[in-house]
Amino acid sequence: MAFRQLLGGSKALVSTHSLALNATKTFAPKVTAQALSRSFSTSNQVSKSSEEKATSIIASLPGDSMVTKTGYIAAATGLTALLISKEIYVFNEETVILAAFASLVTLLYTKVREPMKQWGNEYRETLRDTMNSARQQHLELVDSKISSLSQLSNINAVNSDLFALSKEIVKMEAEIFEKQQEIAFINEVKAVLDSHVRYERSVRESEQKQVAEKIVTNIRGLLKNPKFQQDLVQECLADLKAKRQ
Amino acid sequence: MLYNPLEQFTVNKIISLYTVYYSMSLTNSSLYFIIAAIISFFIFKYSANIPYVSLINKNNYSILTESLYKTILKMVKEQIGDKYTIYMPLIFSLFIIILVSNLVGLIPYGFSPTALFALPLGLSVTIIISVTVIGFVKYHLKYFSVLLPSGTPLGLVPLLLVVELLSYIARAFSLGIRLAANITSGHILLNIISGFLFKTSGIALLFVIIPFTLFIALTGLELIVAILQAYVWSILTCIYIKDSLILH
Repeated sequence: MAFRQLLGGSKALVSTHSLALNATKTFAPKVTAQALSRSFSTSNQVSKSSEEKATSIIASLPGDSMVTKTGYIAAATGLTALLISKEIYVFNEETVILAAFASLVTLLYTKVREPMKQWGNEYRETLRDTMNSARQQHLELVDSKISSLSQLSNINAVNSDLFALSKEIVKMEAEIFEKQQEIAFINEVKAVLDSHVRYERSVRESEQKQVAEKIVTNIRGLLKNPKFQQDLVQECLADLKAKRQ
Repeated sequence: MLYNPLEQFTVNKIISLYTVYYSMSLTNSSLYFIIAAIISFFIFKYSANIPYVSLINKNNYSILTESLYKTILKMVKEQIGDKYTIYMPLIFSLFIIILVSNLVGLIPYGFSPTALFALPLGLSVTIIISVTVIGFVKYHLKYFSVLLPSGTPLGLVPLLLVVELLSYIARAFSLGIRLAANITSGHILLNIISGFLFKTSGIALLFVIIPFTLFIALTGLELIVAILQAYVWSILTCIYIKDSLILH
């Protein structure tokens, strides 16, 4: 029953609205003429802004056409009336709290939404910048690593050269060692031979010395012999005679 | 019959359930606490699981939850020090559940579980007992030195011991009572003023506009109180944990 009444109410409202639309259509040229005559006055701007405001309020209502919008309003009003009359919804101090809470939420939503969006964007931007700079740094690091590694592109040739060089060095070191050993052996042999020579020389010198001493001793022994002395004197005289002749 | 603003805090049984020793009935308070717990869980579950949220392209919701987490993390870090990571989940869970419980009560026809003294007092006593256990586990009998400030003259020791012990026990109650009293007083204030406004609106709707604007401001104030009290609870819990970890 209540639903039928609601439907009836909405129909009545729709018919009223259609009448109003017709009336608007009828008086529209007059309004336009009036508006034209007042085109240079400030009141026109006021009426225009209020018209815009009214249009925005109507546009904010649910529904596509004026009929559905009116229907929604009528249905909502009827439903509210039904809820209150049947005491499904009790209108008391909690309703005041509800209204205040709804107002606060709306206020916060309208006032905080934009700064919040801006803050979110700034945060995202900061995050993006940080990530981008980190990515850039990583890229630079990878680039520098690549360039440093590219310098080692002919590492195989260098390595083989180095290996050959090291082989040569080792070979040379071995030769040097061999030569050093030879020199050491030669020095040792020379030292031994020198010592032998020195020994032989000293032995010869001592033998010569002994022979000379022996000769001197023998001669001194002979000189002490009178016969030898006489023979020597005779010989010396013979020599002198021979030289005089 | 006179209107009692404390009627809003009446605990009603929704589902009666009695065991031999305890009544485990589901009340309006426990129902709203369960709702608060579910909301708390899904706030972060949703924030972490939004499919289009990447590390860079976060939406405003996940940025908000992240900044909330960062705020608490910073606070816990500053208060507790090196071992903050162990206590961070506890403090953050407490903060969120208390915040959502406070906010649930602000929604019209809602009920704030933290407005009843039982829940905050139970939580605060549990926290103080746990903190004491942590202290005794860490310092054994040396933990009693928490009752005696360093450099106390010998003559004052008995007196200070009693005073400090009382203050230590009072922490358990002050923490819970602070929260419950703040939330209760806020709800009572809103309830009384809304009653006045409702009565006055019948006389002259025009005279209600300015008081109603002030009432909206008061609702905003209560919103701030709800957030602030959750923060105060968290910071005090951090301080108590720090006191048990670092002896003065």
